[in-house]
Amino acid sequence: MMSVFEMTDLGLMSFFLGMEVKQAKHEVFICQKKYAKEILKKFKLEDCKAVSTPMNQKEKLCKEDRAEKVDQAQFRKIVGCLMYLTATRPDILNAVSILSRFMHCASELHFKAAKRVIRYVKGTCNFGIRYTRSREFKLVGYSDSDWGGSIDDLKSTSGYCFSLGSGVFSWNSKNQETVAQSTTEAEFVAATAVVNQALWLREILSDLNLEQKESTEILVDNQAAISISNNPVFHGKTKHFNIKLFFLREVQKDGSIILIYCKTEEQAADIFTKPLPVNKFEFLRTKLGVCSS
Amino acid sequence: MTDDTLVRGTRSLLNMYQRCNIAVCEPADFEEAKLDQNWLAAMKEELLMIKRNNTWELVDRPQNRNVIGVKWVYRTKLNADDSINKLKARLVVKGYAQIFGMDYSDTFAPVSRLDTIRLLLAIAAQLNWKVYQMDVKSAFLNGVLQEEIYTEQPEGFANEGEEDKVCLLKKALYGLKQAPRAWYSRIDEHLQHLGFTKSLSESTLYIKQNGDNILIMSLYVDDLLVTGNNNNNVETFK
Repeated sequence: MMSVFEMTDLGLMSFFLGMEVKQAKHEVFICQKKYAKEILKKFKLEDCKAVSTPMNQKEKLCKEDRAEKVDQAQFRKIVGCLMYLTATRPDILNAVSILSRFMHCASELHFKAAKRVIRYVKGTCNFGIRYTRSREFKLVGYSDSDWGGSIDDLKSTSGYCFSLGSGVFSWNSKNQETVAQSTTEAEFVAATAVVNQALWLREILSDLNLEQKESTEILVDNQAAISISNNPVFHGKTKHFNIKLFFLREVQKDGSIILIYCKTEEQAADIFTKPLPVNKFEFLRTKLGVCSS
Repeated sequence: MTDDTLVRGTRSLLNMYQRCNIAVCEPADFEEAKLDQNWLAAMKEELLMIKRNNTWELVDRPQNRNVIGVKWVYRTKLNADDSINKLKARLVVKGYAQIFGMDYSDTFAPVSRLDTIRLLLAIAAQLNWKVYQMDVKSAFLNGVLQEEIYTEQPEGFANEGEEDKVCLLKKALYGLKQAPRAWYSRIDEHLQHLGFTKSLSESTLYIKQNGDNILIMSLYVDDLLVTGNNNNNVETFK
């Protein structure tokens, strides 16, 4: 390879695409400590007071809050920087996703919320994700959604994450494209997105010769969503989301995916759908594998 | 004279420089750069790289063809401790002057998803594989061009006696709209030639299997992530 292209051999991976990588026996730790510190410096918040969660649970942001508009460029800069930080920090993903809905109409309140995320980052600069050896080598997905969380259009937020038993490696938080008429429908839309991702990951794993022989478990915390997806009975309340419904039935039937119920408290993807109180936030953060170096 | 305002603490000089944004001077154009020996050396190095790559040949100025301008871009690369690592001069094409359908058509080139990279790291932790990293120098200069593109000769380095000629590009240059795509096709071809199979679900993930041995490679433009269950294979790959 080196004879064909002029290359530099950088040895064991330690810094890749802005991620700091630490390798040990049966352990890999990734973080963006340096980048987090740069953000603090860039926005002159090095001396700010740290907070324990990225977003105030009681505060609901909306587009028109009558507060004074702020410098849009500065707001976008902050959100852009934070977005890059989500490469190793799934714990701020939901906050950043919410903030980015106000890119075109940032007000004083949005700006304050953005600074709060940075204050959270200040207290957790050296946090990253730790991958270790787990007992079984099994792909597990978590799927969750809130319901009508966005004040402006009452759309729901879906969130998911995947792990191989230790830290999560794939995650997403997204405002849904359609308005869900029930919690079940919101969960359904979320589950469909997760299943798509799960099918893709299964394919990659089998390309890597690490095929998942059993069905991939997706943990969902909504009983109704699971039973409707299993039981092919026509249901008046579900007639408007047929395509997604039949898709979920199909993948479960062919055995590649299986939806399993889990209690809301155990639902790791909850952290991607709404701001949480401190204790729950810290519990789920640990569950994701996010910890300090 | 009394001074009412108290001194509110001190700042380091380095901090001041950063705030004032005057870190290290970079010349804005060739006229400035040619006055400094170090920058001249950096430009010569870049041209040497281009020459070694057989990037272009000089031809007479074509009729009815778009001849695109080039310019020099100067960057000071810093070390982690803010000392100067090296001065870098890059010759770039003014890609904005390219005309769609004539100078370029498709420009998309895939990169790895972060999901895939983190997945590989998670697998490496599970199976106790070591993950290695490599990068390709001046990657885009390796791309082979399908299109016929003419550029001006670089400012200050025109061949003597042939100042009126222009460069017919054979390989890509930085700034060309199709440069990333040309590079991707080149390395894709090379990896498949080496016996790697491309994953259908992720076009930047390559796998080479040999009995029980597996070698995995993920491509992010010019950065390569290499891992597998046999370190000897990784060494041979390099």
